[in-house]
Amino acid sequence: MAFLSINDKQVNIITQSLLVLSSAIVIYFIIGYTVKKIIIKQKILKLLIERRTREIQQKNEELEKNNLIKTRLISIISHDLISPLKYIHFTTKNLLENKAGLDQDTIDEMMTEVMNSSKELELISTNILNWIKYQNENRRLIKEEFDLHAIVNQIFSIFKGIAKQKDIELANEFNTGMILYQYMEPIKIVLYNLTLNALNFTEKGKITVSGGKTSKGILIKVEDEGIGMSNEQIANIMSEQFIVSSINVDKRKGNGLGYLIIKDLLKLVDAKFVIKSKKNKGTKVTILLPV
Amino acid sequence: MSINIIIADDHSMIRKGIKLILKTTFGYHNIIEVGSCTDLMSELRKKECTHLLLDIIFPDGTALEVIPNIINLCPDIKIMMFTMQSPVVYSDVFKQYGVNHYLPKSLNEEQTVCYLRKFLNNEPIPVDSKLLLPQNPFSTLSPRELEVLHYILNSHQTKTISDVLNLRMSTISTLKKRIFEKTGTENLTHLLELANLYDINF
Repeated sequence: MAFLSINDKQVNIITQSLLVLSSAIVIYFIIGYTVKKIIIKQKILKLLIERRTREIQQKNEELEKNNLIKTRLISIISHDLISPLKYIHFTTKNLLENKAGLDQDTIDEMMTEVMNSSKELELISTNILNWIKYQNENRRLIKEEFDLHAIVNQIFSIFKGIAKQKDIELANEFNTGMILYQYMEPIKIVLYNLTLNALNFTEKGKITVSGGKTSKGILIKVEDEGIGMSNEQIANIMSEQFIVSSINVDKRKGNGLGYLIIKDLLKLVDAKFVIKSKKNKGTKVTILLPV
Repeated sequence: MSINIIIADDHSMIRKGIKLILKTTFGYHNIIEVGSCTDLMSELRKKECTHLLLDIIFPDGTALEVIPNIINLCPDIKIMMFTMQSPVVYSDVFKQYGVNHYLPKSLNEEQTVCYLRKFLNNEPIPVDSKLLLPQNPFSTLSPRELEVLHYILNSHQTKTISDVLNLRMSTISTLKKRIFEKTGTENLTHLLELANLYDINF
């Protein structure tokens, strides 16, 4: 009895300690599991925060770059739009009031200037508008089917007058019916700017737009036989945060907007570009669009 | 003495407009036009000019850099600054070079003619209340700092600026620091915004 009772007691103690032990183990596992869960949760949160931070940083960089273009635009509008417009007004008013006393040469000189300047103003305004169109948050970037040959012809028709005046040949070497499934508007604006640059920096010769489909993507080349660029100028164009403007062959001033827009839009469509140039031989800009 | 006028501005429309005013209103016909600092210096070496209308910002440099050379080459030349830039910022600097005439591009035709007449007759410019604007954060900058400001606003690196202006990199860094201090800005973005706000073109 005594043995049993002892045994009973022992069993009791054993059961009790077993109970305590098992509950301790259960509590241990519960705590362990909870801690593990918390750690995992924390890790997920950390990753999320990191991702968000990256996104915010990226957005911030984008905004700052946009800001650079915007600040540039304000300067361009006051300097390259308003003042020339004001002087077009002064000049034409002056011509009208003094037409009796002026020699034909002066009148011709002034009219030629007004003609060239107003064309220039139209081109700058178009470019500013081109860029602004792509600036709102929900810019609709939709790929669409288009004929590259036809697009190049469209751009050439804008510059036909200037090219004829300067005796520059515009050659569209894309095959007719080369259909792309791509972001049409940005590509059109880039081609517009590259052709305008080629025209501005070529005295005489030919401007060729060509390219085709390759395994890596679509190649587009804009080539001129103009005054070319130095390696330093090319490096400046390629570097971030840089505004490049130079006087063109007609001794008219550039405003640096062209490459700002080209770089901005090519980044938007994930394209890469390379500039190759030889002083006084010409410049070739090659764009690679991902498929 | 005959009057030979040279107009230095990078916008040909603006040069032609002034040229026509000088022809029709004043009857001057000896007018030379140039669009860059390089062309300006080479024309001044070729021909003796009596009057110079000088813009501040050119594609190949600024007036601040060429004025000492111009005065060296033609000590008697009369210079009038012809610019979009705020006179508040630049007029003190150019006064140091003995340049007292300032023709803002923002003036209307009548005022432009009036200012040109004073300049060609060597009369002082009428004090315009508009020119006595309140303090501008850029007006305390020295000529050197204004020179550097132009290149900073165009996002040039310290190395490039030191090459162009022929100054040590450390000097450029000090000048840059002082520009940020004086204008109370912290980075290029702020400086650009401030420059736009106060009509500093670059």
